Amino acid sequence: MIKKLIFVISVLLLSYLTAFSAEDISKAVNDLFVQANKAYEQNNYDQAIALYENALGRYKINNDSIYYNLGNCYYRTNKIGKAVLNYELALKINPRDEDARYNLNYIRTLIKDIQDTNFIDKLYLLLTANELVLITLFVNICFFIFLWLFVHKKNPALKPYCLYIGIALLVLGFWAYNRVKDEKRVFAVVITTPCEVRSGPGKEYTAGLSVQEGKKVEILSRQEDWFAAGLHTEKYKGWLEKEKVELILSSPLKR
Amino acid sequence: MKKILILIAILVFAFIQGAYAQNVNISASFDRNSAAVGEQITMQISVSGDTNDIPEPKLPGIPDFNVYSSGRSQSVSIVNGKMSSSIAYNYVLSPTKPGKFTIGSATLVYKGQTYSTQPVEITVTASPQAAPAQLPAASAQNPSASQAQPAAASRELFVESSVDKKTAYVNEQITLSFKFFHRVSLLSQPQYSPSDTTGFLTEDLPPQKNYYTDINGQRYLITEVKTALFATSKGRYTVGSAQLRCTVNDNGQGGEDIFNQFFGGGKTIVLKSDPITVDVIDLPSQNKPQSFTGAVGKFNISASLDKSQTETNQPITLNVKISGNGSIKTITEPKASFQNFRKYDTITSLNIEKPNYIVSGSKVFKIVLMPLIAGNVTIPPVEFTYFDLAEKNYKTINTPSLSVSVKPGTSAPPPMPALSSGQGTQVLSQDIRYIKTKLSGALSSAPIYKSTFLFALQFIPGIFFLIFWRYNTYRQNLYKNTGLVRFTFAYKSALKKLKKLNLEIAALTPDKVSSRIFDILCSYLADKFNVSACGIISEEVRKKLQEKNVNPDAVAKIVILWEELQFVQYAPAQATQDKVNELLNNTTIVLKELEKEL
Repeated sequence: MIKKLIFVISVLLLSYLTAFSAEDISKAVNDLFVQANKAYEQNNYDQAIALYENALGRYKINNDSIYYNLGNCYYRTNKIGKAVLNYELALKINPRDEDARYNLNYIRTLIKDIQDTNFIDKLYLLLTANELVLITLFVNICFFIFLWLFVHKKNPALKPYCLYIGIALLVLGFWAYNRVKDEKRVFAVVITTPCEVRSGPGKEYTAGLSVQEGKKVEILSRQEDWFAAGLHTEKYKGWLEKEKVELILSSPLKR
Repeated sequence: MKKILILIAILVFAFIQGAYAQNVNISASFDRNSAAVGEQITMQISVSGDTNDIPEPKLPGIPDFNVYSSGRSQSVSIVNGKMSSSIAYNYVLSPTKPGKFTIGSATLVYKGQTYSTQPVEITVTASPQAAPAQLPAASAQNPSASQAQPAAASRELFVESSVDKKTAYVNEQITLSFKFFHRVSLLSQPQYSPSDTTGFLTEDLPPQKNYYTDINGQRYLITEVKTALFATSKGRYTVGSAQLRCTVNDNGQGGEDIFNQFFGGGKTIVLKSDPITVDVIDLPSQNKPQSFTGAVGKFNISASLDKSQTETNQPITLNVKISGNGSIKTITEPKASFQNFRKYDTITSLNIEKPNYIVSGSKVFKIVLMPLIAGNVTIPPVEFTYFDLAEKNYKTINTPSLSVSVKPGTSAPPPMPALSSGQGTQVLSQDIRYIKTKLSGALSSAPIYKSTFLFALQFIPGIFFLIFWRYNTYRQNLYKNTGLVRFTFAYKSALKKLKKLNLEIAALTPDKVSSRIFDILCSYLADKFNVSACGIISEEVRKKLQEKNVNPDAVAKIVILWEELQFVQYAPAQATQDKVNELLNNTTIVLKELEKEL
């Protein structure tokens, strides 16, 4: 009996403690965020960058607003590659962020790297992999409950529901599968120019393309200090130096 | 019903069409309908309408007249926010031969519609002292000169171009004179093609002058045409050669022979003037005021208001008039900031005159202002800067500041439909969007799509469904077949009954217990063989068990048990507590053995 009581109390205490510390972090991050925004307003972009990066790094967080603001700072300090990288990160967390999408497209028009996105692409990016997985699970449960009710109660009125939910489940499942598969692909942004895409992993290979800062490439494999990269719009595959690009990975994963 | 609707639609459409149709009128008028050769007729084409963007009308071909533009004047009036404007284009017509002529229609195409004037008939009489009529006499005086020397014949006609200055400032007037010297009669009206004046704004300077002069003892008739040129930018320009194509008598016999005049193959001569080079210099950059927009000449500025009292949101019109000598056409609207007013579009009207071959005139800017506040509001001075050619420096002139008394008005700002020719939204500059001021979203979003647990969870509903479904069909099959149910559940129910009996055994008499045991055994066997429980006999049991290949030992055991139970039932006195207990145990064992065998 006493053992049980101690266990319950300790569990309660632990949960309270963790909650407290989470609140603490959120307050600290928010303070840094406000401070950085102030620096941005005073056109002190370098300080703003330091503050935002500090918030991300110290508390190992992964927030789209911070990435977005960082993108703005880097754009203002003329670091196009870093700006694109941070907008990409913001969009990875929240693909429905209109502002980030606008700024990214704006920069892409500046560097003449226009990627035409059609309606299907926009729809595909509407939900994140996380959301899709959860929605699929929910629809999955709904579908089998309805199917069970239909089979068990033999109520023909339930048949169309089963059909529609079943179709929705198939579409969602396909969508979620592809999104999750896409999440496993690694992309990178060119942050240093000039950056040449060579035919092999080494400076002795001929350069086939010269890409500018801010270009998004897919990383296919790695060999020592070289990445094999795929450029989708140019339909080109080649090798580029590792330090000329930065991977689009959220900050907790980097460290 | 449908018909009525269509009718209404047509009516509404017609009404809208009517309401929006622009009224454009064009008319031509002449100061007189008859003139002698060499005299001038003034033709005025006036265009009026309720818009501001009427194009210039197109003149008809007038082959037997010399036509010069002599300026235009525009007047604009605004009544209740509705604007109407009329532009008068003045032309000077100078007939070249007698006869009756019809001046065709001047046409104007505006918004797809064509407007035209009425044709007018003009009677031209031969001038008694007309110049061409005198010339044959002049040439007749020296018929040998033109006949003997062909070189001299060319001196009978020649042209000359000249400018009044070879160096000029940008936008300063340069007067180009083209003189045609002739002392022979011309068979037809000479065709004049003006010089190429690329780089200049040109302005015709009517009227054409005709006069006589003596050169080396020869009397020439000179026809002089003047054009004002305004250079648009600095540099060295060439005023191209002007051409004159005229036809003269081939043999130079004059006008005595009628056949010669009419059929005696006139000779066409093309006369060319020499090109002239003009240097255009830039205006001094020293002391150039910011407000200078390129006006050169001598100007005055004045301003007036259409009313001195108004209400807020009731527009007033500020007329700024710039008049003087110079390129009036190129004057731009003087800059002024009107605080406390909302400024609408400005309408300009232009009047150009050419007295003494100098381009002058006035340009009026009608600035529509709407007072935003009540009280005595001052309209600040309007500033205009020009380059004074006489003093060779920049001059800034101002209008006096005007004041309006504005009463607080009640009406809302009226729409200005005719004036606001909006250009829609304009992109002034592009930039990225502003930073986020609020930290939104989770601080850290874990990639839960990676979790294996969640992945496994996706299959749980399906698996559950399959299990339930299998179980359901199994049970359904079971209840369809009662025999199978009895067979399956025989042992289970027998055991249940035995357990119950075990609990109640103390309260019952031995014979009762044994009869209960017998019932249990009977119903078990009946369930197994799917027969009725009552009326089952030991012989039948043995037979059926043997059919099912049950171990003979077990069969023997059950038969013995069967008989013992029957015996106890029929001789209750024999039944002791121990005996009953033993029977109960035996039954349990036998049932267990049978269940294994069956």
